Amino acid sequence: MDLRLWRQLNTTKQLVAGLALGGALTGLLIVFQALFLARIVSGVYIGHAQWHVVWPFSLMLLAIIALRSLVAGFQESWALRFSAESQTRLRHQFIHFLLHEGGGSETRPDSGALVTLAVQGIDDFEVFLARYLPQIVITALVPAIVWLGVVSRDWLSGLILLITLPLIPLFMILIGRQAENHSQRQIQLMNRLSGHFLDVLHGLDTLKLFGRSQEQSKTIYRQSEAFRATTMATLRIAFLSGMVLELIASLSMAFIAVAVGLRLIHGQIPFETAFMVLVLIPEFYIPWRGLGAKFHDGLKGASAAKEIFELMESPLPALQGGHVQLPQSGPWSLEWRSVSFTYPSRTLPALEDITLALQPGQRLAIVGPSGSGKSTLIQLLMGTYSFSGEIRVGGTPLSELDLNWWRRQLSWVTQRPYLFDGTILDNLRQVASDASTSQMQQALVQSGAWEFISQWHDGWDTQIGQEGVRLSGGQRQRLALARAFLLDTPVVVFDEPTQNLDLASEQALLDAMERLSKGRTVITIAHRLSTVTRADRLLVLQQGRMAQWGSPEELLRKPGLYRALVDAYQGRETAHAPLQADQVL
Amino acid sequence: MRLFKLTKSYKSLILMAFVFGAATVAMNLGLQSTSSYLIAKAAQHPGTILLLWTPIVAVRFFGTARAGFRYLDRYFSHDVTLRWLRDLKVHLYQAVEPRMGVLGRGYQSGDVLSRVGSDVDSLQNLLVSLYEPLAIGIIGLLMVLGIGLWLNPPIAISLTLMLALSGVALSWSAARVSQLSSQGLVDLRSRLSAALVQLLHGLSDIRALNLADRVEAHIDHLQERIQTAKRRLSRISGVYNGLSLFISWAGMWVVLQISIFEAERHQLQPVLVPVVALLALASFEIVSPLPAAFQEAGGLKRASQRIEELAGLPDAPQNARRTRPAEEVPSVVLNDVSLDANHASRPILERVSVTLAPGRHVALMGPNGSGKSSLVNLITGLTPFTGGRVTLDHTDLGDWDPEAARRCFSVVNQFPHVFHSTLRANLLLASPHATERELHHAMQLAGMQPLMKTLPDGLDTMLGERGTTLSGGEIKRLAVARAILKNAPILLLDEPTEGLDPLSERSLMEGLMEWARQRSVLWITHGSTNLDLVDEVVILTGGRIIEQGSPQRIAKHPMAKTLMDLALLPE
Repeated sequence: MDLRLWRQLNTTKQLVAGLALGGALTGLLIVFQALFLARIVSGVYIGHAQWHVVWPFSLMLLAIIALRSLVAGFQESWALRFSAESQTRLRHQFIHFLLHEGGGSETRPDSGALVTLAVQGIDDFEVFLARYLPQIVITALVPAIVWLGVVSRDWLSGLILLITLPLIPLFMILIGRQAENHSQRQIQLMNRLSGHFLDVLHGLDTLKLFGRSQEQSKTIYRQSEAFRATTMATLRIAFLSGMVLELIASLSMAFIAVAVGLRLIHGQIPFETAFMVLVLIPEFYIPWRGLGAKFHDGLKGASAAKEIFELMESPLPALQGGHVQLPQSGPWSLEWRSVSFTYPSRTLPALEDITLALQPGQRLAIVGPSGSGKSTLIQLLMGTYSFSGEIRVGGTPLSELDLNWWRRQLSWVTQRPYLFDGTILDNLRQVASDASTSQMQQALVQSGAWEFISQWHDGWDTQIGQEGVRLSGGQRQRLALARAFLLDTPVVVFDEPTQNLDLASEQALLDAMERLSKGRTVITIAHRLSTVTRADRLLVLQQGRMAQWGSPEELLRKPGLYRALVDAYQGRETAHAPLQADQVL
Repeated sequence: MRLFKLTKSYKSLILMAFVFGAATVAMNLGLQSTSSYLIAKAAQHPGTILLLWTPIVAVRFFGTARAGFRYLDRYFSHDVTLRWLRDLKVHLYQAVEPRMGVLGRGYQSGDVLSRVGSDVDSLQNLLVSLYEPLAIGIIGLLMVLGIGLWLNPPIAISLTLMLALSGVALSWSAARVSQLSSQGLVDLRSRLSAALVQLLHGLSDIRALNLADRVEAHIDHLQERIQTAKRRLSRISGVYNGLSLFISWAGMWVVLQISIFEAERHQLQPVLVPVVALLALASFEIVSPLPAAFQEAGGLKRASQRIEELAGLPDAPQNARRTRPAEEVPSVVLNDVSLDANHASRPILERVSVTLAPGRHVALMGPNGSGKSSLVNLITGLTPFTGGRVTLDHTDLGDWDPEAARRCFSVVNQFPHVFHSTLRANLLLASPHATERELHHAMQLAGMQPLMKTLPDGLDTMLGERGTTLSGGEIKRLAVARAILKNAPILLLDEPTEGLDPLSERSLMEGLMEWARQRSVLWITHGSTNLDLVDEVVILTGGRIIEQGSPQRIAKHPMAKTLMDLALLPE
């Protein structure tokens, strides 16, 4: 098991200690329970004792049963509580790491995987702690104590149990491994077959258009039948492990019963002992069965935890800023000098040798396919990571600036703005707590958000998010713009919307962006040719390098990608297209 | 439950699974009681071991048979489950397929489909996790009653009562626990996961706005509330867990006390006291799976109700239909066609009239949300329209057999589906008997050669789930290749060049229009480029036609300029 798991979560020590105590107690109670049961039964049967003789034992037995149930109840709630707490702590650490140290989701290979890890992975980890860990502790302790109870009364039965003991994990591993090999080959096939039904349902339109939808019920039957056949082939082996475990338990019970019975005939062993052993045998095997059943939960949770620890051990290098706050107010000139950056887990640089300069108040449009380094360029400007080369703001290197101050000079309107569950007003106050009511209304009007907010019954006191109004993509972006208006920073970064918005909202959004751009230095990650033509400077990025750089007019005169694009949009055959756009964009 | 009719062909298998399950329980009862009988008998010091021969053999038999029956039980119940799953899927598909139009389009239908998917997931467990424990519980109870009556009636009755009581009590409290846990907690958890998703996608935004601490506090607050709910739940489950253990052992205890009294009254042979004790203990295995079964019962009931509702919806009317194919290239005429939206005040399409004469190439241009795609769904009979008339080859669309009508169209739809199968299978869908040459020709026209070079197994490469291995542009090219393979007289293209750069767009459209020279084409586009390739352009916005005419005239229309400005650069 992963050592980091123990180191990270202090409370698991408590959890394990508590569970161990409970497990040991359970084991002892099981032994005493068997002892008293045997005493009562043998008293009545052999000693012909009547109820008034055995009742103290009966009461003791009932008390032990109650105590055992109490321990089981405590153990369950203890495990659930501590696993929930550990899970909360791990998620807190993970979120804290992502917010303060890790890169944005755009820096990770797959943001979908990150979401799955933070939501499902940590839940799996909770199941691991709540279900698998207690079962391990119980399996380690209860059979051992039960065995001691048996062997203290009858060494021969103890010996039989001891002989069967290694058989259980041995067979479980042997058969488990074979089932794994077997299923490794089939797991993909099985996944595909079982997913076929949903695939067909989602593709129903396409099937109808090709006149192939009616015959699909036959295909579904065929695929499901194939799924059944392959699954049963795998299960046949998987069930074997269950059968072996069952067989070992049953046969050892049968063996012990016979062995004990034979010695009873010759009076070599008292009936009470024999009966007690018989009661204890099933208790010896029950925990193993539970462990087998929970094995998969354990595996999933442990691997999720491992993934999270690995992620948290590779933080991105943060930029250490200085103390300079520029005296004159912005906008300032911006200058990149041979800026290069490589993400720690990657071999190829995300940005390589970027050198460019912007005059105060100029507009820069950046164009390039996804993964070409557009977002990274902005992240570096914000001072998120340390990098090689230099970025200068008004002539001062970024590394000398007070980064907290610098980040307040810059706003970034992204495609997926983060909005809190709460009212519109709350969301604005979160970013600018000292803004006046009129300033906030001004910002909403400027961004075009007022248009839809004023139509709501509660205006800007309307709840948005999970329990309130669900906003459309265009509405969310207009709110994000309103925040930027409110922040009123000298430098603004836009991630131009690419979502399918309707004509009116798209135009409203672009108009608002145009208004916000006035009198500021603006960097736009552009997705529209019209945005590019309005910019003062154009940067074409390709795999982290500068493919083209200059003013749009300049670039229009030179052969190259930009000119080819403009020609194509205007329906002109391009005279010379040295670059196929397909290869660059 | 009507769904049970589906199990007709393997009723005997289900019975076998139940019988083997009950036999497993019976073998355990046998093992416990014969082994205790064995030692009880042995304690009487019989003169010869031969007197013990029967219980010894019985103990060994029950021990081995239990494992064997358990294996058979698991095997048959899984086999039956998979058969049931298979028939359930087919049944559902046959219910959904003709009703797609009624179920609604877009988001709504996606919702229905994912619900159907999850209902299938929960219903597949119906036989094994609900009905088998119930069946075994009833059979087991009868068995215990039978064995008990043979031993001593009061013991038999009290044991059966204790079993029934604990089965009911435990099932009820388990259902209660799961109900409590789903209250509030489910809602909180979905809120947390929504917040986490938003956080992870909005990380840059959060950093740029310096919101990290506030976001963290927000998440912590949600987690705190979940924690409180869980703390309460953990107490309840602790109580439940302890209680369920107590009930089964206390049941044994009660039966034991009764057996002591009965032995005292000479109603029970003393040698049977140990037998009764272990039999009672073993018999609680019969009711222990019941709580879990009842926990699922509620969900299963809801799922089966939904599915029966779905199957009960009216399907498309099946009156006399034209199946005679159209000759040559048929015309398509839309006359004052309207389409009302379900909940919006504004109709999606309003009195739209377009004529697609044989051999004409018409572009339908308009911004997003103007109703262009609805037009394609309506012409191909996927969506019913609410007003006006559509004729295909001079026959009303309503009088056509929908399958026959669709044979006239090669369609590239807005969201073409890529099946989780090979590229070949995805293409052959359009034309099952296409030759290798035809496949390659279609792919060449669709511009798929660069993609082909990157595929490891060529045509036999598996395409990922929902086409995740392909880019948006590649999916559209695949759809174009399919449309070419289908080789129908009318080509309906819904944004076939979406996701392509302007240069590739130009060459694809040129090739397609050339290929379709003898065919009619209705090309839907939200851009204003390459209009020179068609005979006529129609501008649709807000569900209405605002202008139609020659490409030269439309190029000067202000909407053409607007659309040019909004056109996205390729990714």
